[in-house]
Order: sequence, then structure tokens, then C-alpha cells
Amino acid sequence: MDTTQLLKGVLDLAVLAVVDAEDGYGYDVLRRLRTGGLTEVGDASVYGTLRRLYASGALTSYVVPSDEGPHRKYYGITTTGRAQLKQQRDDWDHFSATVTGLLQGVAS
Amino acid sequence: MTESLTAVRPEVVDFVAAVRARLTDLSEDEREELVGGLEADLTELVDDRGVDALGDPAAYAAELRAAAGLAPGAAKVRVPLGVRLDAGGALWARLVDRDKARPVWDFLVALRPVWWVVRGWIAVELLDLFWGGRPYNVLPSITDGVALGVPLLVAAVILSVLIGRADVRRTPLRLAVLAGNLLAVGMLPYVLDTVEFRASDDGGPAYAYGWQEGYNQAYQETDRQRGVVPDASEGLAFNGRPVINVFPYDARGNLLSGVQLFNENGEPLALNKLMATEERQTITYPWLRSGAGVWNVFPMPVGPWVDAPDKGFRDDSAWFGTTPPTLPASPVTEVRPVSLPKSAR
Repeated sequence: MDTTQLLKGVLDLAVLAVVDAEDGYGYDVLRRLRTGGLTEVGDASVYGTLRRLYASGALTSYVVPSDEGPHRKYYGITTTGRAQLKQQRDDWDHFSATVTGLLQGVAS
Repeated sequence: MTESLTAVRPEVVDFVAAVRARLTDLSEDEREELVGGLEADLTELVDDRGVDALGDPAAYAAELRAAAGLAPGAAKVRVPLGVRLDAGGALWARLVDRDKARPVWDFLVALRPVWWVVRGWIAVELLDLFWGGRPYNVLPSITDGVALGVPLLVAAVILSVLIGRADVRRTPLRLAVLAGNLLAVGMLPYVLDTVEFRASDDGGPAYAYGWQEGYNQAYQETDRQRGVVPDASEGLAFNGRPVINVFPYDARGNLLSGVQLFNENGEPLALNKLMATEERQTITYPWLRSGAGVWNVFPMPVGPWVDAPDKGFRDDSAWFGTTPPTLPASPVTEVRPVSLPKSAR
């Protein structure tokens, strides 16, 4: 299966992890995801995810005014978000270990 | 983390506007949640990857919806005219941003207030051209004189400047201003061509016309006084029309020739030399006495038309040419005899 399908499943996790590391605005989060290796991720998907996470309370947002150009909307993680991040990280570890184990089992 | 303080590019503004246009089914808050801050982020994206990285706003909006967990929007969205105007403006900005064009455009932009004044003037001049009468001067006069034109011009210029300085947002108004500007630019050559650019004191073409008329009349008058051009009111006339020739008959009805006529004061009944032509077909020539023309002797010989009016309508050499003037045939076919009562003899 292509990476976009895989990505959809873990995008929430990835975004939460990035924001947890450091608060960021939309493009900043996107850039960090890209440099982290997720080159296929779509811009709009990241923005949409940020918005959904904010709506669900996992993220908070605040605006940083600037003298030149428009204001920046920064996202930060909330307690709820940290809890969700931990839960999803554990799920992922468990899931990926299971799949890896299955593959090794089949291969051998 | 570096914070780049870049100004927002026009292409980004239009892209975001187009994305907004496809999220109109959402509430203002929801839309703002999705799209707020997008301009700054996309500007940075364009800085990194170029304008082409923006892609299709429709696809972007769809992806945004999906990732945000919202229902997909309508398949075909009518792009508002305001967004199209923005897109046109962005395209122009891009065209003008090229190296060669930039200085020229910056210069023209500096002249923008001049344009405000000029378009106000054009508007009032157009009124003058369509409703006022000639002459068309720099100061418009709708009716006779500039009493109405100048205040109208001042008002138009003020209005033009106000419009120029206003921040027009609503689409119908933007369209109106754009149409007005295009109209003014389009009419500029016509107005410049028709308006007379000279100091309005001398009244323009009406003055020139009057001056020429006066000159012509004075010239003719002096010619008359010098005897070069005969006075049209002189000479033998009948029923208000000048006489061109006279055909005398005797009592028995015979056509006479060489008849010299005088009036009751002894004045010779001379023809008007100026009028002694048959509408450019023939000319009458006077009988001569010691070489000089005598204008009361009839009938006058007739010759072909000669186009030499400055010689007094006559050319003496006609007598010696191949076709000298001849006595014309009488226009009267039958002249019945007349007689006096017996006692008058």
C-alpha cells in the first residue's frame, strides 16, 4: 500500500509529537514533519489536522503579532493533547511491534 | 526557529481568497479557524518553494476539509467576482514586478494623484462635448460660458481624488471604479483631440472665425473702393434682378442694334459689370468708344465664358481671337408692331 494510507493513520500522532517538542505555526509544523522524513504529507492535511486537534482540545492556539506581514497563529499542546499523544504512541508501538512480528513470522 | 517577517504576496492573498470561497458553507468562525494564519504560512511556503507550489485552491480546500473532519463541500463553487478581480490584480502585480517594468510602474504610481485630477477633467469635458456647444476649451462650459463648467470641474476633481484615496472593498463599487477608469483612459485621446488648447481669453475657434470674416469683408470693401471689384448693388436692374442684356425693337418690330440708352436724368443706363454674365456660360462685351467700354449700348455682343474675373470679367483680346464676341440672337421670337395715338405725333 502507498504511504498516504499509512500516513493518514498516524498523522495525528506525528503532528502531536511535533507540537509537543516545540510550539509552532502551521508551516513550521509542516516543515518539521517534512525534514523529519514525511516528505509526502500534504500541506492542507497538516492544517486540517491541526484544526481538528484544536477543535478536540488536544491543541491550544495563540496569535503572535508581527510588525511586517500578517500575524502568525501558533499551536501548542494541551494536557489533553499530551495524554492523547502518550496513548497514541503506546498504540503505535504496540501496533508496529505486532505487524513487525507477523512479518518476521511469515518471512521465516 | 527563525521567524521570517515577509510581507504577504498577492498570489497568496488570491489563493487564500479562492480557498475561502470554497468554504462559504461553513460559519465565519469555522472558516477563520481553518484559514486564519494561512496567508502567512503560505507566503513562507512560496518563499521556500516558489509560487507554483500553491497549486489548485479547490483541491486544497477539499483536502483541508477532509483533514479537518468536515463534510466535503459542493462540487462546483461559483467563484465570486470579487475573487476574480483579486486574481486579475495579482496577475497585474506579477507582470509589473519584472525587472524592466518595475521602475516604469513605480513612476506611474507616483503620478497617481495627477491621474485623479485628469480623469475628473475628462469626465466634465465629456459632458461638455456631448451637451455643450462649440467651442471646446480647456475650461469646460456646459452651457454658454464657464459659469457652470468650472464649479462642476472642481467638484469632479474632488470626487475623483476621494475615490482614488478610498479603500473600496465591495465588489460592485470596485467594478464601477474599474469601469470608470477604463472609460476615462479610453476617452482620453478623443478628448485631447477635440478640445482646443489655447488661452480661453481669446475665445478659441469662434474668435478665429470672426476674425477671418472681418478680414474678408474689409478686403472686399477696399477692392470696391479701388474699383477692382464692382459694387453689386449698382447697374441696370429689373424687378430686383440685374439685367444682363437688352434687346431693343423699333415700332415695326425690327431688332435694332447699337442702341444707346439714358434715363430721365441723362444718366446712361449702364449694366453692372459684375453681373453681366450668364452664369458662367457666356459673357457680354461692351460696345467701344475710342477703345473704352460703354455699358449702356445694346444689345451687347456675347462671347464664351472666360475665367479671368480679376480683369473685370472682360478680356479685350477676345475681340481679336478666333471666336470674337457676336451679337446674340434675341430671346423674343415675335415682336408685334406698336403705334402712338395720332395726336402724339
